[in-house]
Amino acid sequence: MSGGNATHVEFKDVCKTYDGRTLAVSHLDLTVASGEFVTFLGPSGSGKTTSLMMLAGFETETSGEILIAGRSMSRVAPHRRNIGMVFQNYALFPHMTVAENIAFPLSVRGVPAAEQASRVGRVLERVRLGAYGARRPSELSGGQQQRVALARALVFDPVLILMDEPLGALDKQLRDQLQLEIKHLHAELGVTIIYVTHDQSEALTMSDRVAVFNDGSIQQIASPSHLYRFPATPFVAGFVGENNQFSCTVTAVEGDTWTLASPAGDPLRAVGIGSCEVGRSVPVSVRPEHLIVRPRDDMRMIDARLEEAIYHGDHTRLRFRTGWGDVVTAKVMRPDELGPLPIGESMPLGWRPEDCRAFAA
Amino acid sequence: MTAGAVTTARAAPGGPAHRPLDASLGAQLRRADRGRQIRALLLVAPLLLFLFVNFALPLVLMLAKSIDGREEARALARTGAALASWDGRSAVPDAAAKALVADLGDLRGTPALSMVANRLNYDVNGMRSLVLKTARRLPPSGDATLAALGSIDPLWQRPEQWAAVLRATDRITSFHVLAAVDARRDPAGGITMLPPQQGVMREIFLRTFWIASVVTLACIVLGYPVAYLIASATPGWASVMMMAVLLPFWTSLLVRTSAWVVLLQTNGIVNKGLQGLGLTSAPVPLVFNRTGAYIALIHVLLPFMILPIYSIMKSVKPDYVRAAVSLGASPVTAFRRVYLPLTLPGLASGTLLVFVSALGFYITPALIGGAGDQMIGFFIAYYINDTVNWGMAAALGGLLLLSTAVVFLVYTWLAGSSSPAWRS
Ligand SMILES: Nc1ncnc2c1ncn2[C@@H]1O[C@H](COP(=O)(O)OP(=O)(O)OP(=O)(O)O)[C@@H](O)[C@H]1O
Ligand SMILES: [Mg+2]
Repeated sequence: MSGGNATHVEFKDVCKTYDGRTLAVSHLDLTVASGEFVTFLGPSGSGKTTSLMMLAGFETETSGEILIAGRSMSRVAPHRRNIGMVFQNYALFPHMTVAENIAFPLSVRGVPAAEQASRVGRVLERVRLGAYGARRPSELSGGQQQRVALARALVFDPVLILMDEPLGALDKQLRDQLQLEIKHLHAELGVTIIYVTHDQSEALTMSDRVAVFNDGSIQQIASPSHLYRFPATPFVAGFVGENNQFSCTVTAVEGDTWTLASPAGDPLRAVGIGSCEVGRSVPVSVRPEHLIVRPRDDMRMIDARLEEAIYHGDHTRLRFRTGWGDVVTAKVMRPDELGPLPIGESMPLGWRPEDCRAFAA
Repeated sequence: MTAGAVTTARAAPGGPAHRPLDASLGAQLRRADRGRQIRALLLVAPLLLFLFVNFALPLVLMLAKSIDGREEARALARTGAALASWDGRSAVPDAAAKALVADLGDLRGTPALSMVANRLNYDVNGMRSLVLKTARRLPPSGDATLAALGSIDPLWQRPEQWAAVLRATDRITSFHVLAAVDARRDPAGGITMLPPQQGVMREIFLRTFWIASVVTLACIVLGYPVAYLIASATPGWASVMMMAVLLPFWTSLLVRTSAWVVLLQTNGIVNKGLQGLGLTSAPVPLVFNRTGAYIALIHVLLPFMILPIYSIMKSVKPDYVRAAVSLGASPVTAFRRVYLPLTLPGLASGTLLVFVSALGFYITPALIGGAGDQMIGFFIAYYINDTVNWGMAAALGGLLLLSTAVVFLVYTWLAGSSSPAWRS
């Protein structure tokens, strides 16, 4: 990855409104380093596409500024930004063959025909579609079409590539495979990639950093593992990975270790995020794989009644009903080590305090 | 095993079908298909019947008129037989004169006489009066020689008149069809073209194609941007503009055309406006000439260009142009290499629709055009209504139909070769 940490893309306090009343993107601040793979993750309508379109130049920012390689883009026409772009529905030109599609960015740049042919051939090999140059896009499968779109975005050697849910229309198996291919291409080419998805597992698998969008602003931007282990807001905790959430009342604050009371009065401990006074009700979040059934006494937190055990092959999910009526799920790798698990029986549940997070905000 | 299991599981749906079909299964399939086809046919039968009775049958009957010479042939049956061995140049045998006198004798006092006289007059000018005069003063049948006819009118001594009579005795005649392209059979039976100053049909056809081409081109130039504007407008504006395009359909063609006469006439709004703006000092002749015909035709036909282009444009997603631009194409290049080719099918069908409609237009040029701006449709109407020459009208109609078919074939050939398996 050449370029190391040099800033490649920068959003400076960017806002965008379509209707003059609501902000589709609100006060977006973000820097992407050269060679980095950054994913925009967020639910539908959270402003991911809008941010990408402003970067590509198809939408103009209402306020703020976008810089690429230190240069303000406000006066640069979209076709001069030299950004490779992959669309969700591929946007392959249906009236051209695969080879013509891929040669398009070269021919508009005036590359000589012979060189076009050799570069198209090379990039087709790279996406393993060497024999398909003469076909029409409509004669390819969805995965092959997406590879062509990828080849077309790579062939003119852009240093910045934007992908808007490029795998959204494909089935799961194909998606997993293409995720890896894109990741490998990124490692080989050293280009900067900004990738949009609303699939959290895709974001975690592929990215150097993930920016979680909600309601037009970034909730948290961090590496996948950091994001997973240390979600900064209840939204992130809920959106990335699975998670059990319920409200508790803060009873004591010692630094970032908080003591809380569950609605049923059980005392429990969690890592507190933000600052909070005693007596407030806050959301508490713990992941299913961190929930311990029949824990040691020092980790025991709440009691709950087992409602259902669902077998998943490599693990089993236990569904509990807490005393105050919430459902919590535990993910257990070896249920047989837990002893008998009679349905309907109440049993203690717990977690290590550092695995549970309480959010002040 | 596990990896293999995945692939077999995926391949499974295609697996059992590889067994060879046994014959009875094929027969069952055919029987089931036949049943379905018959039901489908029954469903459309009323429409087919309607189309046949009201469209195909009249068309065929009308077209048949252009080559139908049976009435004349029957009326001049004896003359036809007597002239059968005549070579068209040498002296006419007396037997032919005798036969003609006999035929005219039978025709005298019946409507068929006038019919035959008219038919001969289309061929050689002046024959109507010649035939009527001869029929009034027929010599007695014993004295019916060529000389006797010559004494009624010396024209009967010239082979041209007899050649015309001979041509009128064909049961299936090429006379009207040839006349429609300014050609005729010479006495020897070959086909000759009329000299340019005599033939008007070629000019009329050329004019018709020229006017249709100009109108089509103008509709493309005006209609494509309008379609683009509507296709890219917000839904509210789009429906307002669409209304404006469709509004003319709510009034009859006749009313719209007459309105143009009012607008374009010497003291009409348009001329007043031009003078008021100081663009012209005197009224510009805009009506009863080619300019007026163009204006009105373009106005009437423009929606037929806009609608198909618009519907194609609606189906072209903005992502295609965005993709082109993101790949480095300037807006002009993106339009030329991506948007235009993708909207070409709409442009092609609009062009076909406008061109073919323009070819057959009648009312608008008839009301707004001058004498020199009339198109083929006008002459078809003229032959039907004014001269009651149905054969000629049918021949012109057939020719118009043929040119339309040729235009259509060229269109399908072009569309088939340039576009697109991808629009399936
Ligand atoms: N062209 C547009 N005109 C008006 N409003 C728009 C337009 N495009 C997007 N919006 C609005 O802006 C907000 C953000 O939309 P955006 O397309 O950026 O979301 P997204 O995160 O990409 O969602 P998705 O995952 O569904 O693609 C939404 O509320 C949307 O309704
Ligand atoms: Mg989107």
